[in-house]
Amino acid sequence: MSLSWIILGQLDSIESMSTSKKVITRDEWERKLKDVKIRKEDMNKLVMNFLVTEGYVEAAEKFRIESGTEPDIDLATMTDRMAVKKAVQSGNVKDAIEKVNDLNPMILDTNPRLYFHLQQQRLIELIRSGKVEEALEFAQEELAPRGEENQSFLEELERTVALLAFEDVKNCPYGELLDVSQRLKTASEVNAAILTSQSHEKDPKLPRLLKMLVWAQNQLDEKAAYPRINDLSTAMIEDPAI
Amino acid sequence: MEDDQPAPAADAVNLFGFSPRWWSGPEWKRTNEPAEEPEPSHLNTFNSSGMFHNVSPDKLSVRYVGCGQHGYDVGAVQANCPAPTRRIVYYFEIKVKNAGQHGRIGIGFTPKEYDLRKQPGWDPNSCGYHGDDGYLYHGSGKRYRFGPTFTSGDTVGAGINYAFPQFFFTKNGELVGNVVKDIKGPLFPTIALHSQNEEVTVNFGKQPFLFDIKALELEERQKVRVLIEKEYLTPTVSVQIIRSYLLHYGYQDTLDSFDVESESMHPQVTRENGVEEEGCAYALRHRKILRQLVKNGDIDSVFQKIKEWYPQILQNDTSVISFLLHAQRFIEYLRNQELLEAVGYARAELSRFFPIKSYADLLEETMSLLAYDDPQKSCVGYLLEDSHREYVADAVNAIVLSTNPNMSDPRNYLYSCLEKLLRQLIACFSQRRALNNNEGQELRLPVELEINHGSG
Repeated sequence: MSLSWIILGQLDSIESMSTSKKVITRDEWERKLKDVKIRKEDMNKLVMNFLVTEGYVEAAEKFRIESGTEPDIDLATMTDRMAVKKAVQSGNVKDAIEKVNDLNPMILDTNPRLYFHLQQQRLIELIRSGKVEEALEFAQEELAPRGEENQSFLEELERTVALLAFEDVKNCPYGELLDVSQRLKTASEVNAAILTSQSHEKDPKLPRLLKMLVWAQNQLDEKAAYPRINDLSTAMIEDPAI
Repeated sequence: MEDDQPAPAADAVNLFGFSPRWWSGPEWKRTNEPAEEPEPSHLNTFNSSGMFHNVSPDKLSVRYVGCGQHGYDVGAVQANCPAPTRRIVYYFEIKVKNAGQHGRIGIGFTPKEYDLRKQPGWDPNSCGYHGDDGYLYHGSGKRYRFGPTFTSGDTVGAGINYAFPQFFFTKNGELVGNVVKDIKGPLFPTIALHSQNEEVTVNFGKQPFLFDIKALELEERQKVRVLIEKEYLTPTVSVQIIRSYLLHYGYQDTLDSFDVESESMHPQVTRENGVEEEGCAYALRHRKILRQLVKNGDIDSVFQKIKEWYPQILQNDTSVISFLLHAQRFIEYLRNQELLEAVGYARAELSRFFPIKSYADLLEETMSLLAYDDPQKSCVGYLLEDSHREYVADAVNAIVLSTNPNMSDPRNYLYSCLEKLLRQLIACFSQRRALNNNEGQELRLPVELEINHGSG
């Protein structure tokens, strides 16, 4: 058989493979989209849920006034929670711990990992400010006992203490512990623990719905060619690539 | 809503289509909760010949009364209705009271028009697990070794897992195995007997199952949850979407606080104010003020401000926005218990909308508020709610956005970015389900949005 026949034959089967996907035109899809029933109040709830969970205290208060949406958590407790988060983010871990205990002493009692991470952050802050003696004392008295209880704590403790071995702390192998992102990580952990203790979901719903959209489109891609949203931030619908 | 008269001229904004919020609470409920799907509850005594089997009066037991001598005297019986499809899994169980002479008991699924003198799995489009040989029969002579045999005292279950889709079978609470489900269309749970003295009872869910079906369902849900969690999102996308939502609807005060707090929360995250803000910040202050006026019920001021700022909007006095605003003014009179003023207003401003078919129904509903002593408790009481004011506020917002000379895509003033994403989400799930023979669980947004307390 000549080469061209073979190629044509292959093209044929490739074409039929791609056309075995159902094609949905732009018009059909727009009609489908229009038929979807969405309630404004559900969208407002979604936004409020985001503001509250992520800690936009003022924005949540304003949104409640401007949209009439009731927050699903008491805004007063939000202020306390944000004060804790802020304290960690600015490196005042001792202050943060006090505040958490004021809010609810059970939180740290029932969250040994969180408590360890907060203490670890305190150690990092002592090292950052060059207080070597204090740091060593703190590590030995507060962190070592916890390290003994738990293998993974011990490993993290060792990494943190190792920082003391370096003159130029910022550029050593564990330098990322001194990064502000470490503070943010710990702050986030505290935020989540407080929310959970208040019987609230620690993650906002919006990102999950966005991930569902991404997943749903990927799934649908296997069976159909249809107008897609490729950029979530613009929600622009792009014609099916046929 | 069909138009008898041509639609009001220059009515580029189809406000009735943009958000079906002009629906009463009960109407919303009806569309948001799917119709009850019937579920098998007992054995069907109508469609079988009844020659070879005997179904008990409670329709949950069956006994073989034939001779079991050839391939056409099976006593098969189906459930009263097919397996429901709007869920992840369906399942039922039988208990073998007596395996009789040969234990030729079959359990599985068959289509509606099935020859009930045959075992499930013998004829095309059916599937059955048989107790005498432990084989799986998959229609038209296809059969293979599948699992253990089963006999008196055993509890055997059969189910459909729509996630794959596949059939699966269990024995005494343990999974035996599964097989690809390539049969389409409604499938009836089926049990069959084929030797003397065989007797089984069936459980369609009234009693707890031996097999932990809930665990299976949870497992399937968890699988999907894990996959979804793995999807990648750019770190700033949620914040961008929230921001554009606030901009779109004119929640200016919230937006200002949001921007300030964003700066302090993630200072390293730069807001990308590029393409996405095309037209969104247009007339922000005006839209905010108009929204506040509507939410306070001050429609007179709304009219005044619109005439001052965007006179073109009210040029056509039978446009949709005209209708919505005048109707809302009427409603506000009623909210203040000013019935006489309401009637006067209706005569002056609402009567001209009556001849236009697309407004007729809504106008009637609005006017019917007058008929009730306690309109709030009536079926049109939703018109008096704050949520209806919100609808009108959103309509005003959309019409003001539509005056933006730079707006390229008309959909941009109707739908916020968030709304477009949510519509696409639901449309994709629904399309996917449609391509899956209309089987499997549906995505229902209100359920997803349910703010759970205490479920971390």
